[in-house]
Amino acid sequence: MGLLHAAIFNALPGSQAVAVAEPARQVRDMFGTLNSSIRTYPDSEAMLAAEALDGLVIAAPVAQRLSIALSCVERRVPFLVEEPLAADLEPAAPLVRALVRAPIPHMAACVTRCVDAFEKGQAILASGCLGRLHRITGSSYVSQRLKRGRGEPQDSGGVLLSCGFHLLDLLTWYAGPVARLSANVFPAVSSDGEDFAHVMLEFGSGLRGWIDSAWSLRFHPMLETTFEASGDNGSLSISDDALRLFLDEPAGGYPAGWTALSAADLYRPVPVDVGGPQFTRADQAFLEVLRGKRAAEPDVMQALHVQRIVDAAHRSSAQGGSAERILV
Amino acid sequence: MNGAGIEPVLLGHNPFFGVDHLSRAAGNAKAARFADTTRVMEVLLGCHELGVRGMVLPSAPRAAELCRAIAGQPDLDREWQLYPLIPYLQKHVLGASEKGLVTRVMDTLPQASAWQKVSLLWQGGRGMLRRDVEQGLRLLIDVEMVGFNGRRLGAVFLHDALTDLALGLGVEAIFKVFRDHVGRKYGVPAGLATKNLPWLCARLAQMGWERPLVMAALNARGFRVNPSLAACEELLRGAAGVTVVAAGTLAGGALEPEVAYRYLAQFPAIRSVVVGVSSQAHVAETVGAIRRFMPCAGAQNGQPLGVD
Repeated sequence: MGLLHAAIFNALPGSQAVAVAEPARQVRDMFGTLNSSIRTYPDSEAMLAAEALDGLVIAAPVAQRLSIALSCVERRVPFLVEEPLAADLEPAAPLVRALVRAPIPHMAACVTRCVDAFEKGQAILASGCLGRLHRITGSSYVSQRLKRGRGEPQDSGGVLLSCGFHLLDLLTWYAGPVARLSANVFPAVSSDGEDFAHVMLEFGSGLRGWIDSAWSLRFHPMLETTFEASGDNGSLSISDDALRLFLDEPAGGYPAGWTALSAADLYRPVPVDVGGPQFTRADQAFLEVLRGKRAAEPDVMQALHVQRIVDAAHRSSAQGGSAERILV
Repeated sequence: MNGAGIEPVLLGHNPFFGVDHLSRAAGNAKAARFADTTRVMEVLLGCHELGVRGMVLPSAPRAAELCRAIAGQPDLDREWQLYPLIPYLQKHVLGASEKGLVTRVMDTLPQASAWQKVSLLWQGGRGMLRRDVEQGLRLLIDVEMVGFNGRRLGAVFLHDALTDLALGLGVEAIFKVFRDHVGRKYGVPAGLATKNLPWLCARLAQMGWERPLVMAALNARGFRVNPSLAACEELLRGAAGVTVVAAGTLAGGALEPEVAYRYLAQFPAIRSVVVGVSSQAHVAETVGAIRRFMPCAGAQNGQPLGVD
């Protein structure tokens, strides 16, 4: 994933990849032989010590992300960090304190927000065309854990820390912080975390909903994410590649009746596509943050709110589905 | 690296591997449907009756199973060319940080015969021990090609994930390693798949490449076409010497075949079309439209085209 970001930044106008920290010797050898203008280091500390960077992408394994982010704050290097930030919330406290004490530009990379359909969905919800919302729901399903040879150790920690994390981020983007939840999470084929998660959510606004997430379902070779909202004036249904809106009355610039948009309708080209347009858009957003042209969204604090939801879901399930409050 | 002799109509693999660019849900449903290889073979045999003689196939473990099934059909075995697309190379490179490159290679080798294992590791392993990147890349290509052993090949394509990653990282030198090794060892053209057609072609021109063979999404809707449809059209109108294999031509199903191929017919550089079909009725309509509207693809008589 780090190489993907490096390739995008290296190709986008106005930015250049100058250094890569990569523990795998073969990858470092590749740069040394084929493109020596990108300097390589065996770890990020060595790179941060040697380079004067305008920004750093933290795409290391989950267990290393917090410490690298903390180093960035101490060295005043803006950073873009992959989600989730950590396996649980507790070790994040020093990073939060450091960012409060000495803020620097930073952003969490939630590429699901940059998928055409979900980005359009946010605009529709923000228009208020659905009226008072009754409930919102989301699901994410993939066969990841059923694929031979997958799983260890980078994606350990359970489905909620994997695809569930991005789904929860999406719902908090759409509906704001979560105030309370009740959850049921359980393993089936994994030994290091849950395979299935169902979380009932109550947002700070009073809106209610739920998510359902699984990474051990057959016949989902591609991650499939869905979102639904219903309100006084209609309903909205979004998948990774399509969007359907129904309104009783015209509102927010949308007509009454059905508005259906396919992936082809929603597609917006990007200057360079390495691994999907959503990655390019996330990296373009970070460049705009660095140039002071936009606020970082999500930032570390928002990402940690999702981390709190995951932690609370695990606590709730361990206590038989108890209601857990979440500090906002 | 030119595409002389490439089949004008290539069957795409996406429906059989659960990929649907308009709907992941539909893609996953197709994955379930085509989990039974006999259903894939029904589509292939239907395509054969319509004159299709080529198929793009990734080097996933499932592809080896399909290759065996094709070998079991005398007509397909004799007349079809396969066009491997080698995406797992990306996983070898990216996965090297997790498991180490040698381990990744060993994970793939169970598909190889005992003699192939010895041969591959002897030739490539020495290079890896010497930290010879080019030798290591050749080993990875050979490992990817193990599942296609004994099959007739039309060309070998580098997956767009790796082509575009190499472009972005400025390590395009791997393209030359790929081209030279595929040509020398497998005796067929090497092609580059990409999601950034103008960028790739400009870079290859800078590198002095003549008549490159490239595969990219091209359709009248501009779906998955970067950086813009206009930029790709401009390239195609002036693309002397570039042999283009057009994929995603129906914009994932958003375009009717007649509309799709009338549009593509204006670009003579497009010499072959990849069609992703999942039913007999669909393939008949699609292939019929290609033959009707795209004489530039050499498909009027169902004969393979010659670029030169």
